Amino acid sequence: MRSFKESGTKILCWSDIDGRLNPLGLALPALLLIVWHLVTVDGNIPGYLLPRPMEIGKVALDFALGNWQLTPYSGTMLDHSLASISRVFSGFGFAAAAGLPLGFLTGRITAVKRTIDPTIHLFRTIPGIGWLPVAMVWFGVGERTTLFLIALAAFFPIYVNSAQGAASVPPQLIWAGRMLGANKISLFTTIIIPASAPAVVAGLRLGMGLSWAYLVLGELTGVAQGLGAVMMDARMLGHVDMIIVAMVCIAIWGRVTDLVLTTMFKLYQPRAGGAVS
Amino acid sequence: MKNGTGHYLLIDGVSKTFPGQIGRERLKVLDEINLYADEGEIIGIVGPSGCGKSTLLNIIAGFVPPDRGRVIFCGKHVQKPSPERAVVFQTAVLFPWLTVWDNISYGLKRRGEKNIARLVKRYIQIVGLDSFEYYYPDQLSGGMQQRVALARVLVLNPRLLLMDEPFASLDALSRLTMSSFYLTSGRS
Repeated sequence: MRSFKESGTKILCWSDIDGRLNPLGLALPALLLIVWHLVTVDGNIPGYLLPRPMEIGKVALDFALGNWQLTPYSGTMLDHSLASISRVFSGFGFAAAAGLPLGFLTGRITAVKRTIDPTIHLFRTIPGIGWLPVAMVWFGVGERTTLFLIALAAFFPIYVNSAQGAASVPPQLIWAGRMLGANKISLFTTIIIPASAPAVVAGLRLGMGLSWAYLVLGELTGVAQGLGAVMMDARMLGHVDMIIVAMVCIAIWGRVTDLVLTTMFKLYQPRAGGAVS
Repeated sequence: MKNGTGHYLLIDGVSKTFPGQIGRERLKVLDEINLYADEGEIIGIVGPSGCGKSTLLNIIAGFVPPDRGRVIFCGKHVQKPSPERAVVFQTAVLFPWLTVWDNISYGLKRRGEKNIARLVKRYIQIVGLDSFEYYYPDQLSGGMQQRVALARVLVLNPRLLLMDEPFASLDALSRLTMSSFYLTSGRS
């Protein structure tokens, strides 16, 4: 009588659905490292253009621990990372605070969709980098411009996915909820939000990814601390190794924040909604 | 119980059309349907697919309004869905993010019921799903899901049970078992 379709929790990258290590997921990074080592080991590519992986590893450790004073950034990884993470969360928070309610309203109320959706999609077509000059005029160089760029970039995927998710809730689920006595508010909180959660989380993840991308753009314009600032500073000092280490840091923090989002979603909703059973 | 019109449920001249293809006239699905039912009656509506059976049930349930005509249930004009007129759909339409227990208690919570645990437990037993309380819908077979759907509406003690081909997605044996099961548990 029973059919089990247990969907395991896939949280770790490079791990399978059942949590075992997935060798295929490690193969590509390992191959890239080997190729990188081979093309740099004999000095075929000069170190000032592309340092060897081992050197990058040492600089990364020094950036984190400050043991060897290899660069001017020894032991400052935590400070720069915290500055960047706080900017990402602030900008992303603004984007989510605006994008989620507007998206849900657009997805469920035709009048709201007709009123605001065309204008939002008009602004969406302007590339994020296109906002940089005007943001610098409005907010000056530095902190507020960075926050503005992050919030703006993250807003659109959050809004679009929330609207799509809310609009795609199967009408039968809404009917079932109303038949069982749900009023407008409980219909929204107990059916529309859970049913559209997978699309909303996809939008949040896209928004978080863009937040990190636009963090770098904002921090390049001139802030004292942050991984983007390190990259820009290191470029001027000729520390290509530090630029690469900062890039790796951003990749790792970006992945960690993505995992935080997906884990929160799985805790909130062990069985993803959106489909009629 | 009979109402002012003399019947428990009265469908009075109900018509419904839907938008046709571009450039064509509207699709007439129901045309002047008249029907009544008295308390305790079981009525089957039979017809080929696309003839408007589901549309008629959706109108009686209050999910969609008729273009013309009216539905009177227990003396009241039907205008919106209500737990009094429960529907079991072709597919179970359970909330996939809720367990069996939470699906069945959903309507009771909305009603502010005090004895939720006792009622849910009782109806889980009636539909024979003891020990499956904390399973999610996607862990159950089609027949088990339909039993949860039935428990979810029966627990609210509805005055009218509308069933829209609830066994359509089941195999022949499950259909037979579920038919007798519905008749016995529905009546009880």
